[in-house]
Amino acid sequence: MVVIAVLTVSGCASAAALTVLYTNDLHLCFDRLDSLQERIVQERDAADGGVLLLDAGDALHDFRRATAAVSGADEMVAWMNDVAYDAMAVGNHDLYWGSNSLEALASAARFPFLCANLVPCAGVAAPFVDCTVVDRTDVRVLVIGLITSELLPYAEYPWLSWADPTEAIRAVLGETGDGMDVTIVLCHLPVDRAARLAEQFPEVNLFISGHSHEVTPDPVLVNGAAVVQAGAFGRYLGRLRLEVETNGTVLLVEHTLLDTEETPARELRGLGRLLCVTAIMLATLALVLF
Amino acid sequence: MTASEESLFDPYLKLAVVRDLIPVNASIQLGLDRWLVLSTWRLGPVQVDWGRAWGQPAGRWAVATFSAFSWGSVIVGVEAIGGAIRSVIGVRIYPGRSRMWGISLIGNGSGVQLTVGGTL
Repeated sequence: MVVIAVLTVSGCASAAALTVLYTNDLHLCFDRLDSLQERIVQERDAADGGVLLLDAGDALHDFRRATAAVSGADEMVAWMNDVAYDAMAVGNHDLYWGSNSLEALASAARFPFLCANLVPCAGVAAPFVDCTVVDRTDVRVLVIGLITSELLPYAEYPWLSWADPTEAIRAVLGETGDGMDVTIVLCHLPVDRAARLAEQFPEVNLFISGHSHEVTPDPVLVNGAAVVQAGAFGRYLGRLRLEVETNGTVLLVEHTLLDTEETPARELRGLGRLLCVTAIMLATLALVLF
Repeated sequence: MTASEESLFDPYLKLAVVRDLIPVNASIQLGLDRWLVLSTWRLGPVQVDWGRAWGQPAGRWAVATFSAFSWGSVIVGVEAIGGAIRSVIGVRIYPGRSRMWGISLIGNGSGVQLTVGGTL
């Protein structure tokens, strides 16, 4: 175990260990969920101190497999409930389900969907919140969600406006940042964008990024914060071990990307719904053409 | 999308036949002098609408809307009204922070249509 870096001095807290397990861009990777779950259980059992489990977005949808574009999000949320995620950032793919379905998914989730930089019009309730506060064995953790502006389904959510991530973090820290021992940003943004944000916010200890499917075997250290990303499709479970010192200093003790293994997934998952979608499209196309 | 001459008031009843079978929606629109079948296929920032109208005037169309930015969309498509097949191209701009109202400028070969619309 190697001390990689001293992170940031934040609010005062008692000395405590915190393990942060993280994923990003799972994209309904059902073939790796068994292995991921096994890893998560192992890490929880072995952890010294509190454990957080977080996701940086795009867990619930994929275009690369036709079946994953039409079904599977509810099963994914059920799995995330089972392994007890603490929070998930909303990714652009997660929004592709549309507002009604996203609202149903958020209601089914026993963890909050986070996004601080999509702002609903007055009087409209979004199926996500800016941030959440998690208390783990004497450590108070603020988790903020952010999303990229790329490839968003703007037409599907006319009541949302995208805000600059810098302004969004500033607003959340201004409202909720006091008294936190550790601040984590789940940003569905590439590593370089997250690193630029890290330059501006020394009070943030950790940026877990996503969207770009990058792998960071070594964390990118910027301005005392660590920026990490664990590839995509559940290939890795990221693990960070932090120490929160009595003087408020947060130490990054270790960062590891833990391999997972593929297990056969049910090939027919979602096939019925895909056939139904295809049949409706062909029927309506036939009405137009003939 | 419309295939008719615009009138100030054009009441209709819209029935969702397939709702939230992501990524497809389908509906039937019953108006005073025509009825339409409308379908939408959403692929993230791309939305493809196609439909057919029976009655006066009858027509068919397929239009793709690309919404790469929050402030605007590009619209490209084709429509067949009567015997004429025309291309459709246009832009839709949303001057506000959200897309609750917008301005469309759409040309279809026979003219350019400027519309302002919003959601209450």
